Amino acid sequence: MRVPVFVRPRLLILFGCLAVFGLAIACGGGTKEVVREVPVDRIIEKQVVREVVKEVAVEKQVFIEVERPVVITQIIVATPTAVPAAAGPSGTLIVADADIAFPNLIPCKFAYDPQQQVHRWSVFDTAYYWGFDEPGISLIGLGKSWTYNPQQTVLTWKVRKGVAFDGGWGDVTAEDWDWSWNSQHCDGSLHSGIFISKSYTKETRVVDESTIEFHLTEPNLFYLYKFSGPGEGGSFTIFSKAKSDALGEQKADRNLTGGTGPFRFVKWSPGDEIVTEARPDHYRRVPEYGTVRIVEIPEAATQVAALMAKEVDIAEMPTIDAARVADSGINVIKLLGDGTSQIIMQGRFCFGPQGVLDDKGNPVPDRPAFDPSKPWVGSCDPDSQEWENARKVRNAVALAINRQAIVDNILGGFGFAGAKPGFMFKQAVDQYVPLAKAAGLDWESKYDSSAARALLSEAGWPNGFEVLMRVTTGDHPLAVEMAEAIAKDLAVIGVDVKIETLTYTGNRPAVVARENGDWWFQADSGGAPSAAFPNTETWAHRRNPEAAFNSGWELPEAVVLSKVMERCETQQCLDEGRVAMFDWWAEDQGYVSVVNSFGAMGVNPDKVGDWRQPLGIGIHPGNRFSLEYLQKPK
Amino acid sequence: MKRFLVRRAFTAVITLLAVTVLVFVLARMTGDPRVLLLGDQTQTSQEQWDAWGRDFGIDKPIAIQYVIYLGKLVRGDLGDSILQRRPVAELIWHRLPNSAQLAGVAFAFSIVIGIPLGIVAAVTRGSAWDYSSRSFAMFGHAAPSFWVGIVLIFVFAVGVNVNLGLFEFKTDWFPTSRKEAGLLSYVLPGLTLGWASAGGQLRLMRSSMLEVLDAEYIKLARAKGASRTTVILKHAVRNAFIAPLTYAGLTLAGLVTGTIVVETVFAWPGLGLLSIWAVNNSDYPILQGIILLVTFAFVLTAFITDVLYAFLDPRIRFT
Repeated sequence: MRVPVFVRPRLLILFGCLAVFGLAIACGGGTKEVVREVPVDRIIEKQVVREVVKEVAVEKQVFIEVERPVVITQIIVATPTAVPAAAGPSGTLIVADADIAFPNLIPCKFAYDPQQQVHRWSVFDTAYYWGFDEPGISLIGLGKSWTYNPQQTVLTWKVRKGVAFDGGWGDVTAEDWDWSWNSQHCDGSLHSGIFISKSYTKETRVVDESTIEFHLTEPNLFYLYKFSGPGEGGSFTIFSKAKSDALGEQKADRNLTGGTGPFRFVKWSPGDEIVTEARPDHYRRVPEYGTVRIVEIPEAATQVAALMAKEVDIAEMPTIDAARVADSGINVIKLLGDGTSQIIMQGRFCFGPQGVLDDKGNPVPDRPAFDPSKPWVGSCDPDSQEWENARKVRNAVALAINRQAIVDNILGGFGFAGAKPGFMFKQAVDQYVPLAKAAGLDWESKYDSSAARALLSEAGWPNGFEVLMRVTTGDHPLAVEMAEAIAKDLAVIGVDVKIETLTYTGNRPAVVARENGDWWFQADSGGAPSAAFPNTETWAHRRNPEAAFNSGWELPEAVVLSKVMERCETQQCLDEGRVAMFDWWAEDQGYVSVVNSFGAMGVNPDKVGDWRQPLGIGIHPGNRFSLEYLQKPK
Repeated sequence: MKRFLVRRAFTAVITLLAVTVLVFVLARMTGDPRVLLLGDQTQTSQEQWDAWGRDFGIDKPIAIQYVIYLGKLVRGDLGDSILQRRPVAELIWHRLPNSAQLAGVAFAFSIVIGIPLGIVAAVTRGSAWDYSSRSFAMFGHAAPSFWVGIVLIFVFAVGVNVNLGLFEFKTDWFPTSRKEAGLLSYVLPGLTLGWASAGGQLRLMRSSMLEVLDAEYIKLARAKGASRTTVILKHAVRNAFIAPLTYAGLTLAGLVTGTIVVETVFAWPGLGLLSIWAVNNSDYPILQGIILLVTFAFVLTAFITDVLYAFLDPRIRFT
C-alpha cells in the first residue's frame, strides 16, 4: 500500500523542525527593559480611583495633597506604624500574573525582571516609598531619614533600626546598605537603570551601624530616586550581607529568605507560581491575607476567564474586556497609570554639531541609521532649511492623528489624548509648576488634516512619502489596532505607513545599535496609579551613552536642557527648565505623542474589599500590587 | 530486516546531527544574550563583558563552541539556562511529565474518536454519519487551537446558563486553566489538543478504508459469505491501518513536544510554556534542549513506525 506523500516521516520531520525554528526566529527574545523615571520634588498622596463599571461610578477620586517644598536638602522623619490585621493574617488570595520570572536574590545578578517580582509582591522593601497610610508621611521604608550637605554632594541616610531580614539573618544595618549598593552597582551588574547612581557615585562610607553616606561626583537631582520604591528598574534593593557571606553567592541566590517586606517567599517556581506568606510581625504593615499564590497564566483571555470563574481573585486585564468582566460580577478597578504611546521617528542621531559629550567627555558619534535624506530627519544643523523642513514634517504628522477617535473607538474610553509633549501631564504641571501655569502652555495636540497637509507641502513633501513603522507588541494589547488607526489618518495627508509588527525584545537590539532609521510605534499599557509628577527631565535625559539605548531617540537639545536641570538647586531653576523643555519639545516634536491609556484590574468582590493602591513611581507603575494594603470585604 | 533497521538507524543519527548544527547556528543568530541581559554594552566594562562571554561559553569561535556543545550533548549535558541558571536537562525533565500527560490524554482522544469514526464514515459512505464525521474532522483541522481553547474555556469553564424550561444549569464544569483540579483539568486542554489529530486520524482512516473496501480480496470475502463485521474488522481494518499508524506515531511525538499554543492558553506548566518562555527571553540553551527533544521524539517515533510497517506489511522489509 502506498503511503500518502504528506505522511512520509522525513517530510514530517522537516516540517516539524522548520515550524519550531520559524517560531524561534519569529518570536525574537530578550528581557524587558526599564523605560521611564520621575523626579522627586513634591509629594502628592492620592487614593486610587475605584470604579465599579457596571454600577456607574460608585466612588469618586479623592486627592489628599500635601504641599511640600523640594526636599532635596531637608530631613523628613517618619514613624511607620505596623497596622495588624484584626484577627491576624489568614486565608489565601490567588493572583494571576503573565510571567513568573526566575529568582535572583543577590545584588550583582539582580536583573530587571526578578527585581520587579520581589517588589511587586512586597517581599523586599526599599529605602522609602510614596506612602498614604499616615497623612503627611512619605518615608516608610528601610530608611529613616535622609539629608544632603549644602553642596548636595553628600547624601546621608539614617537606616531604620529594628527591621529584621526574614530567615534569621539579623537586622538591616548600614553595612547591608553599603554592601548591597556596591554589589548592585558593580561592573557588569545585571541591575538595569543604574546609570545615574553608578556614574554619580564617588564612594559610599559607613559612618556607624545605622548611618551611611553616599558621596557624589557632582550634584544630581535624580540621584535620590534610586532609593525609592516600588520596583522601579533602578530602585536600590537592600539584601542581607550575612546571608551571602554564610551561604556563598550561588546558594544565597537560590535561597528565598532575606526579604524585608510584609510578605516572605515560600515557593518560587519559574513559569509556574510564586507563593508568599504574610509576616505577622512586619514593621510597616501586617497583611490581612496569610498566603498569596501568584499563578502564571500567560494568556490574557485565560486570565479574564479565570477571573470570571473566580478561580483567581486578582488579574490585570485588557481594557476591552472591562465591561464584560464587570457584567459577570467582578469589580473592575481603573488604573490611572500613565501608559503612553508615541511614534518615535528614529534616525535623528546626530550629536556632532551640538557638541554634546558623553559622561566620559567624549563626543557622541553619529549612529549607523542617521540619514538626513529622511523627511523627518533633515539635517544636523538647526539653522538650515532642511532642519526646519524636517521639523515641519514631524509637526504635520502630529497634526494628522485623530487621537480622540483612538481613545473612543479603540481604548473604549480608557485613556486620553496625548499632549504635545506626551511625557508631561497637564494636571501635574499645572499643580506643581507655577511658572508653567502662568505661562499658559498650549497643551492640546490638535487634529487638523488640512493644516497637516499644508505643512507637508511647505516642507517640500506635497505628495507625502512612504515610511515603515515598526509596532512593538507585548505591552499594550491594542498597540497594533492603534497603529493601524494612525496609518489611516496619515494616509489622508499622503503619508503611506507600512506596518511591521514585532516584539519589543525583538526590536530592541536594532534600537540599541541605532540601526533603525524608520518609525517605531511604542505603546505602554497603563498600570497602577503613579505619582503624577511632571517627569520632563527624566525622559529627556535618557541620552546616550548611559541610558537612551532603548528609547530610540537621541536629541541633543533635550540633553542640553536636562543637563541644566540636573544641576538645579532651587525650585525656580527646575521650573524654568521644565517650561523650557516643554516649549522646545512642543515645537520640535521629538517624538509624536499619541494617547495615554489607563489600565484595568479585575478583583473578586468575595475576596477583595477596600484596597488603597499606593502610588507607584515612574516607570512601570504597575510593578507593585501592594497586597499588604488589601482588605477583606467587610 | 536487519539491513532495513541499520539503514533506518543510520538515517536517524544523520538527521539528529544535522539538527544539532541547525539548532546551534540558529540559536546564535537570535542575538548575543549579553545584550539582552546587560543592556547597552557601554554600561559595562570590557573585562566584565568578556567575563560574561566566558560564563556563557560564547567567547570562542563558533566551530569550537559547536564541538564543545556536541561533546557535552553526548554526555547528556544540555548546558545551563542563562537566566534560570539551572541545568536545562533538569528544567526539561521537570516539565516533560506535564506535557506527556496532556499529550497522552489528547492522543487517547484522537485514537478513540478518530479511528472508529473514520471506519464508520467509510462503511456508511454518503450517509449522515459520514457527513457528520467529516465535518467534525474538517472543523478540528481548520479551527486554530488557541481559538478552540478559548471558546471551550468560556463555554465549559466560565460557563453559560442553560434554561431548558423544566430545569436550568450552568456549564461551568471544568477549571479554566492550570492542572490543579485533578482529572478535570485534563479535559479541556486534552480536547483542544487532540481534536485536530482526531480529525486527521478520521480522514486518513476513512480514505484508507475506502481504498481497501474496493479491493478484490474484500469482494472475494463478501462473495464467500463472510459477515459484514468480519469483512470490516478482520480484512479491511488491518490493511487500512498503515497510514493512520504512521500518522499516530508522529502525532504522539508532536503532541508531547508541540503543545506550545495549548499550554499557553491553558497555562499548562509543560514544555510548550517553557519553550515560549525561552524564546521570549532568548534563553537559547533551553530552546536548543527542547528542539533537540522534539527532533529526537520525531526521529524515534518515525523509526518505530518504520519497524511497525514492516510488521504490518512484510513487503516493506525488502524495499
